[in-house]
Amino acid sequence: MLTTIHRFTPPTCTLEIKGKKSPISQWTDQDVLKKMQFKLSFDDPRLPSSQQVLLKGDRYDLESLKISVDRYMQSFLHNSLALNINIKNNYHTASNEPYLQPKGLTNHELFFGAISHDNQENKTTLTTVQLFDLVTALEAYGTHISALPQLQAKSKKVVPLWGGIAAVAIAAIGTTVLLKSSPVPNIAVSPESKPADTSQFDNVVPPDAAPQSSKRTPKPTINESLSSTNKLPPPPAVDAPKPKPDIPDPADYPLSQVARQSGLQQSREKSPVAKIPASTPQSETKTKPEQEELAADNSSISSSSETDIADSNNNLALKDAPSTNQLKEIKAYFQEQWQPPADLKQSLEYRLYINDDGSIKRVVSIGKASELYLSKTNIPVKGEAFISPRNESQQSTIRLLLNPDGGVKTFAE
Amino acid sequence: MPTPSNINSNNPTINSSRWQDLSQSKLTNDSQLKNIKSHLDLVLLALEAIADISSEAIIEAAKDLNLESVLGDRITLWRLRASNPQRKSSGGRKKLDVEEARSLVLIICHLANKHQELLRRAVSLLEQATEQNNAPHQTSLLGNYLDNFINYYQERIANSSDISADDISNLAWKLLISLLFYSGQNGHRLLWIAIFDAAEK
Repeated sequence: MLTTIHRFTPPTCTLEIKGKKSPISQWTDQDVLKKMQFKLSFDDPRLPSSQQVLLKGDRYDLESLKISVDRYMQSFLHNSLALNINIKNNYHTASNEPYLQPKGLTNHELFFGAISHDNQENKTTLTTVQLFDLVTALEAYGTHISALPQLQAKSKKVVPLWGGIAAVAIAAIGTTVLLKSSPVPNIAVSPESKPADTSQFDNVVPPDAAPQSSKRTPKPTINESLSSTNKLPPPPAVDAPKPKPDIPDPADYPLSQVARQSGLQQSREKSPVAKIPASTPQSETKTKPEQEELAADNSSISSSSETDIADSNNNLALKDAPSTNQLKEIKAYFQEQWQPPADLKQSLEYRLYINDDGSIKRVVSIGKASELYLSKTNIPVKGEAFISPRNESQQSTIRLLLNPDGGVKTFAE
Repeated sequence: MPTPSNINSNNPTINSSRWQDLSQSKLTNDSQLKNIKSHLDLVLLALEAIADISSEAIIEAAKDLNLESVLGDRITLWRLRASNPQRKSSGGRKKLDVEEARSLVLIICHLANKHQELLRRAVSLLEQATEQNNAPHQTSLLGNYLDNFINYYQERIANSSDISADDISNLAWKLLISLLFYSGQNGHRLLWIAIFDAAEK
């Protein structure tokens, strides 16, 4: 599986996402990544580098951050429509979750929660413009990337199908959180499998990943803080929650031609586009035409690249190609059955374990909202006939996404 | 996604993902629609005040987004407003319906996006003034904005004399900041949710 790096670079922050691109990406509009890791750097050039803050973490951390930002924005914008200024909001949720609160008219304090960072304090202050850039980067991430939960990552709850069994916490499994220190060789530009109107996000990654990352991430410091970080003992029965914000799921809708102006285009470039030396024949054919195109591209938005490294340790590769018939059946079933409740604002996500006879063995709710609304989803949880019996080549695990507007998506896992 | 039968299904905007993003699943009653309209008027007012946007520009945006068929009468009303700036009524004779609300959201965000650099600069200036404890309106960009905002507010909003100058100023700055967020890629969703939230309270 190819390792992919996406980089979103509004002027005052940089969000870098690294992960293994799942083959099912070809059936979705987003890059579906496994083992996703991110680095978020608040690197406003007007700030001295000692004041620039770096956050690092996995999919769960980034989703938490995105949710907290979305929640804050919703509250903030709602308040801005009203004359009465001091509406007290409860910004603080669970103690380990990140959150924001206003500081005066134009500043916002971001508390990191349990996310790893290199700052003295567990918070930083963002100006409104910096917050806007953060929102922009997170939106671009949400639009372009779908990260799958790690099979062995920390998670919240499992809801077994056979009732009466409490949530089980499974012992911590070492996670490979640390980014590899060696530079990533053989960086190739991602092939244009993405729709044309996302090309503004594709930039060439500078070839020297090592110097770049060492400039931005003092390694010893990062290593220390990460190793000393007390991550919550994760139970991974499987899922990191993927609670969705109240905003309709961007995954449902392709970017349209109408909506092309990007909030990320700035005249001031942060990371100058550099030429990639093509180091393998395969990457050479891909990079040359892309290089010329992209070198001319002034956009300082995101960059994305893929490596050709054969990953011999990759045991997450799907053994079987997902069966589209099976996915279609499931999708069709739920398109008929799914009646979103009027008060539902978030997408619901479930992992379905399918028996050989096509009935559902187990349902795992991903995220709080999914747990709450499980009974409303019409998922046949009592072993009723569901889809055609599973043949050997078919998946036994399916991820189901139910949207508040009635949309249904299915993925093989 | 249900659409009214009178909407031309070949209209590219109607079929666009942005239009679809503005879900109608939460159906609205009259009083909610009224609230939505007044909030949209406020946001549009702020946009006009900062970016000097004329009724013509709004009509152009509607054309660019292929929303003329949806807005129909409202375009005519805007044209009337353009020809008579003293007109007190902001086209309120016709009730705003959900399709028009969606259209206005798209238009506002489209225009905000067009003026994103300006909005970014204005918010930066506001930040600087706040940091340095200066009155924001002392810079000409923000001073003009505030003057315009107050004038339009007093012209168009009923009972505007009941509100203190401080409160109007505060509202002006908050709306200016909001506009920056509405100018982003997903601004239309943020605005849609904000006005729905506000309409329900």
